[in-house]
Amino acid sequence: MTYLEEELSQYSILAKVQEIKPPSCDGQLIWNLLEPNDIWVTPSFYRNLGYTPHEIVSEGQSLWNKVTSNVDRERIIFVLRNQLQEGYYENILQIKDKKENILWFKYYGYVIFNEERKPARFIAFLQLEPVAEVLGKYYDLEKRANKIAKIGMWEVNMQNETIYWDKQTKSIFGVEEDFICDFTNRLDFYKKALNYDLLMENFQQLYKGKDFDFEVQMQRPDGTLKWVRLIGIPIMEESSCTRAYGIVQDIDVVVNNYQQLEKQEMLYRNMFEYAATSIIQVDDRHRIIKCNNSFMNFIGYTEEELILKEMMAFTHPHDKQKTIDVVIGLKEGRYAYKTLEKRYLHKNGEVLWGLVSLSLIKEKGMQTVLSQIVDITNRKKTEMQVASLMNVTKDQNRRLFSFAQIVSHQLRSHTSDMEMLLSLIHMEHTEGEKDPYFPILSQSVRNLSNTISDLNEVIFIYNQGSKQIEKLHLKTYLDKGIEKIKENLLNEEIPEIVIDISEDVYVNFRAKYLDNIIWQLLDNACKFRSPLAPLKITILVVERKDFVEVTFSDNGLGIDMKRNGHKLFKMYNSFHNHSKARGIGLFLVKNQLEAFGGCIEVSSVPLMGSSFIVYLKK
Amino acid sequence: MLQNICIIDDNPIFLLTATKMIQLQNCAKSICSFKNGEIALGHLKNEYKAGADLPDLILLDINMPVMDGWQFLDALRSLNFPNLTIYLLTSSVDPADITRAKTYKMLSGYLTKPLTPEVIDSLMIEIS
Repeated sequence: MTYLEEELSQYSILAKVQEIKPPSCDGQLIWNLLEPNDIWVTPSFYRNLGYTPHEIVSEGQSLWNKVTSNVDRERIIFVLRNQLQEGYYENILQIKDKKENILWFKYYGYVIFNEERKPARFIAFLQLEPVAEVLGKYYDLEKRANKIAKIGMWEVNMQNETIYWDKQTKSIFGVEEDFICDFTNRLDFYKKALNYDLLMENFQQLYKGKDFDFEVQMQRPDGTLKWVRLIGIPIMEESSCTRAYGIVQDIDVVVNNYQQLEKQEMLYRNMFEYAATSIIQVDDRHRIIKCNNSFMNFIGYTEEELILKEMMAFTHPHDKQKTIDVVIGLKEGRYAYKTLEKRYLHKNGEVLWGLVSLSLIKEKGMQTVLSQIVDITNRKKTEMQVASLMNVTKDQNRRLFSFAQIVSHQLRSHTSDMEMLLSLIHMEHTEGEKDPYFPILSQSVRNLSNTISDLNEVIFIYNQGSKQIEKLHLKTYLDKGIEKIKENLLNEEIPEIVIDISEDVYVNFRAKYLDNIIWQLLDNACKFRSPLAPLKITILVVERKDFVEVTFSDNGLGIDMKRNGHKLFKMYNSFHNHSKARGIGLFLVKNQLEAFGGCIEVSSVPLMGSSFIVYLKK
Repeated sequence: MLQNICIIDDNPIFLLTATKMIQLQNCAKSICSFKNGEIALGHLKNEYKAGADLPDLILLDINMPVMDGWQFLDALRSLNFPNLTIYLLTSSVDPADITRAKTYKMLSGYLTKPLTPEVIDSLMIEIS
């Protein structure tokens, strides 16, 4: 038995101590307030902290210094030594167990004075404080925020109006170490708090013996704001609060993190709820566990009708296997996400098309699938309509084409018979040759024959595959065309032809058609020259990204575009009162160009000239 | 002047006009005509067996019932005939037909209707 234990048994106050002894406590201590290293604690207390009996004996009194912090011990000794009279005292402190876990203990007991009326002993009980559990949650959060817990202790004595703050409290409040908080101005730190009134109410409740646990934003002397958590515990003596103690915790990071999390959570929730895209979450048994408003609008069911229902019930039978295969692939980790087009069934029976992006979410050992669905029903319907129209068009084209071929072939056969018969009448000088209608009939047959020949030409332009495309050196063809046109003008004035082209321009086209186009455009310019001025033709070649632009400009008769522009490229439309105009040349030019991805444009002013712009693929 | 010209065509008007025109141009002693490839082929086989002279020139249409021009050429190729001078004479200007004609080595040329005295004359020069 140590002397402190002996002492304990001698005190007359022992009876009173036994009075406050709770039915169960975790430990008991006697502390020599004159020699703070001198302390006795029940061995069972240390045993519960994980120490072996041998360790307890060998460590002796120094074990107390091991399980408590210097700050706490200094604080307790400071407060107890400054007690004005013998009596009850309680507070809390942190104690480390052998595994270094922090536990919170409430200690409460009696301060005993010696003959010199000085505090000499403190006899107290130790009890695990449940408040620590609450704090534990904060610890976790703070650990996550990578911050060390900052907890300070404070005590307010209402009788002598003194306030004690420990070092940590002072650090949290941003004041110097020698700062002493003034009782009357103690609430000034919270003046900026939004919940100031509520805080005051909580402080008032202390006097009625009620604990408080409150989060408040306080202002430090340097003006910065900080979130703190205040826990206050009142000590009641004869139904009035004489003292209160508690802790203050710096939760600035935590609160800020919370607020940010809350904002983010709100943002995500909003995004989910009100997204234009339908979103559903399906569990590992293919049941819907979450769906947003868009999905409900899309599928026509209410949330109650959807939650925990089999997703497959809303999937088109033909697309079920496809969906299952994708989900299996996700779970096997073959891909992180997958997009597919699938059909859903609306409540009204309508088939809906969705473009679905599926991804896997792993949480709490469960795998769920998140589907984001874009409604593509209208697009699909249009696609199907287009496809069906395309089929109709293709079919019609095919029939039209074979019709054209048959007609042209058969007609050609008949006209050749007619030509041969006319030829025989002429050769044999029969009666028919003397008939005055014979020459007219012959002309009619020739006209018919020409028309059929033109028709055949058009049919064949479009009846050629892409393999017929040749890479052509444009300048060679232009030069050749110019030579040819000059040779052709036997009795007419040779025009001035200016050509602006670089050597290395090539086009992808048909040689035969390129010859024809150059010939037609130059020939037209010559045919429709102005009688007022010598003909001048300019050929300008400009290379564009995908096309070569060839402009043929002349100073000839020109075309009244308002009157004739629309029929310029149509078959058998000629609008010059010119005997040479047959109305087939430009029609063929346009068709030859378009059959190979090119086109032609024209601008003209009557009596000023024309400009034909030919676009050829590079 | 050729001994014999053979015209194979399903169009009776053409057979009439062509025969007449060749006669007027006075370029063959005899002209025989057949309304499809099968009849013509039968005739040729018989003539050949009998040891008679085969035609100096065959003018062959493409589109015919029963046996068309191509089938006639294919059948002829499988038989062991001595070389014949065959020209296609058709109203078809379809490039597909022209391309196909080039694959038959036994063909001497591709002519399009109508048959005119000028065509006949230049054909005679070509053959001789």
